[in-house]
Amino acid sequence: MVMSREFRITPEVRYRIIDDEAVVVRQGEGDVLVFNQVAARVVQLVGEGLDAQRIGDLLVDEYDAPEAAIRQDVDSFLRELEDLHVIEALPTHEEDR
Amino acid sequence: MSDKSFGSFFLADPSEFPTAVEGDPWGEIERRLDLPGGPFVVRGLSPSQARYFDTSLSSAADHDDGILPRHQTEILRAEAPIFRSFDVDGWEYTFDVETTPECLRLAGLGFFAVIPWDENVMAGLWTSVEDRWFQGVIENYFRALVAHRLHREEGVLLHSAGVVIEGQAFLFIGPSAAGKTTLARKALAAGASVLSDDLNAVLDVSDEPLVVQLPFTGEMERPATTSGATPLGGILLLEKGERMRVAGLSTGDAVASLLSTAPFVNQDQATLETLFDTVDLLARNVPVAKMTSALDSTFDEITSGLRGFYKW
Repeated sequence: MVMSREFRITPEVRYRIIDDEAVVVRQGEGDVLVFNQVAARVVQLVGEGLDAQRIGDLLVDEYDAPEAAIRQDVDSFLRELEDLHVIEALPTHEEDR
Repeated sequence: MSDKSFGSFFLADPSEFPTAVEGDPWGEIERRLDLPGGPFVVRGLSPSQARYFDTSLSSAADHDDGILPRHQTEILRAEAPIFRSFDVDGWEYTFDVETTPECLRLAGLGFFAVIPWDENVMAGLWTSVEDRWFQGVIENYFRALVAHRLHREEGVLLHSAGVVIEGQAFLFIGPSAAGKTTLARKALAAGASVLSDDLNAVLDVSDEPLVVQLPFTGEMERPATTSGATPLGGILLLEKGERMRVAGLSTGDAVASLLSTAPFVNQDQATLETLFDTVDLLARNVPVAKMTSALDSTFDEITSGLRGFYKW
């Protein structure tokens, strides 16, 4: 079975979904970022505790676009959010050992 | 500074930070201030401190002794060695602010303060100075105090240039060097009423927001005092560009801009959630736009741009 990556919102980050956008405050860096609709949904779903696979599944249901493109976008947003320290990957069970 | 724990940058021994408001007052002089979140009374000033207090804050003096203050501060003596010393030439410093469930704590150059949330408990401002440095101490104290008092009363302090145009206040926001003071100077030269080039108070964000002038300025001389509150016509995020242009912002961008512009309360996880609510309401009740203007744009051109966008 392939393990899906799990993330969480970084503890120093606070966010709010406003209309379709995510307003993200990075208190460590002292700045505020705004993410568009799809990235905002990814932030929201990470905040709800969903893993990468499940986030992809939900967005495939929600958006009328080819599944491969949506999953690629989700991966790309997750990487971007991780680079910005908005989210952080949780250790996998393999890494725990 | 942000990497260190509260007070460690300014105090020789942060563990000596007081847990209760007690100590020796500097003197017996009292002053009252009518500012948003107040009225405030300050007790225990020495004659020298009272002089610098008046220089800085007299435009907000409250001469009505009949009104009960809602917030009281005692000015208390602190020994100079408590504070670390610095070469402050050319240094634009930020003092430490921390909220606890019981109080707001401040620590900066030559001062520290404990401000209990319970209005019935006196706040304490300890300082080692009564010369001209006291002017900076008392201003910084009230900047943070007003920000937090407003925050608890459905208001917000915004880092902004406030200008009254045709009976409405417009707040121009933006990062440092965005052009707030330049715009305020252009407005003043054109005969418009300027509230402040630095900090303005917005009240009643959930209804019909009002702007109240504060005695805090940035690089500008203190503008003429305006009385009462002015309806808030709009908020403009300043951006330098080739030509004058005003364009609406999405609510998310508006909220992000306002969050970045609300000093003190946007630095603390304890106050951030309520601040989100406040600026979200504000962004929905008042048009927030981005104003691009060239360095040589005249105030008339700026007013025309606003008129076109806001459809006066």
